[in-house]
Amino acid sequence: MSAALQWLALGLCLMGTIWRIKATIQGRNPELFGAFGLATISVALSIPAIYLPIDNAFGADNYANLLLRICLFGVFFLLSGKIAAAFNSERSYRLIRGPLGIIVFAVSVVGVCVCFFLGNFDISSTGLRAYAHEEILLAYSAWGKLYLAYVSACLIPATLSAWLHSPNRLLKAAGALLSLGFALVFLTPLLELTLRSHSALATFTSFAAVVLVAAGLMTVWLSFLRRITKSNDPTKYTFS
Amino acid sequence: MSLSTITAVSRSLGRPVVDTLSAFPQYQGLSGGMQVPTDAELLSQIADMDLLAELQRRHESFNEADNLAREYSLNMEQRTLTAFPHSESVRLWLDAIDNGELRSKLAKDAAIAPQNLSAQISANRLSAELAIAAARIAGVGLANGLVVAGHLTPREAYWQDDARELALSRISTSCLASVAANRLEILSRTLRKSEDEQRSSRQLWEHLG
Repeated sequence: MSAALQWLALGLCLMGTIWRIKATIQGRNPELFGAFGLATISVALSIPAIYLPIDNAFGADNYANLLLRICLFGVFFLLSGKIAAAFNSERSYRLIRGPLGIIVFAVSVVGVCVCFFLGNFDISSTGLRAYAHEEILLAYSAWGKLYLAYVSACLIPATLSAWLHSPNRLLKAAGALLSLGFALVFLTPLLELTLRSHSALATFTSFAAVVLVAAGLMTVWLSFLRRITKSNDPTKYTFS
Repeated sequence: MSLSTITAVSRSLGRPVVDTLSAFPQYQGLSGGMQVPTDAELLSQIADMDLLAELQRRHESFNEADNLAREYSLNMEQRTLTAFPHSESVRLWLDAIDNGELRSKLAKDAAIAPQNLSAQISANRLSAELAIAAARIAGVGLANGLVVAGHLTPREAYWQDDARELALSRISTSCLASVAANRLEILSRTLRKSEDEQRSSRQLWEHLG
């Protein structure tokens, strides 16, 4: 079941990447192409059938897992700035793309790398599951989620306020899904740290977070595609 | 039984809808409370652009030398008004029959939250119960609210076919100008809101599309 979901997610990310090629060539939001590409790599590296051969090519020292973490940072870095701009939140944008955001990004990358090299992960294992009992893995995992949690925290006010206050139905719907998703991304590492293990609850919240954020973005994309095919804009006022 | 069911059955049987409704306890006294719509009610059901067109027509005719004759012919001219209810029918009708505190009284009598009432008005809807209650409070024809909220056709409430046209021909130009000014005010608010919404949609698509 879980494996089927992972392959499904991989397929969706790959489709997203291919979908963005044309727009990227036209110079429209190349960040989205990057985000989809990095997400594809991240999802692929969480599937054993892909992870193990790739990791072996890197020397079977689990560098592929480090790559996965960095790619995930990249996805959030690229997407979050776009979402902040899309929801017209200057403050969120500054917090994410400004000096503070860059510092948190850099610190997270360094933190993840340090934990990775402190831990002795020398047997190739997808998701580092073979090391689940080791304390250092918990730290590694927490550092790996710090940047995601930071970015999510920056985006919650903007998306939440769109959900609660925007008269625009599209913004309201996308804001609802995204703010709930980001709230879960923000809570997952806290949950993991307090429960001190990879509990089923944490697994569920991170899965739910991905689904919610993806659904929020899909809402925007579907409305965008419909806008092109349908000439009459639903938000347009018509004289009576 | 819901109002739409009763009206549908009544229509298919070819019976007067108001009479059929009056047989049901919740609509009792409806047929007895029928009144011809007031001019204010009728004007509220004329679309903004029709009012402006009328204003322009009168303006043009005033520039002509033989005022009286022109005006007379104007009154006799066949006006073709846009069908109603229009997109602000409920709000404008309530404003037209309001002699102070109508909305708060209505919400209180019907035991609903004022926000609930505002939401209905903003969506240009008004439940049959509220429409009748509002008419009762304001002392106008009980079925008139059912017409502007789209529950009944004007004919079913015995509105004359050219009632709005006649009301428009009766109104003085100064009154017409002031009604139109009020409409333009509302229109500009509506437009501003929809422009803001469009702008935020565009921004969303621009960055994520």
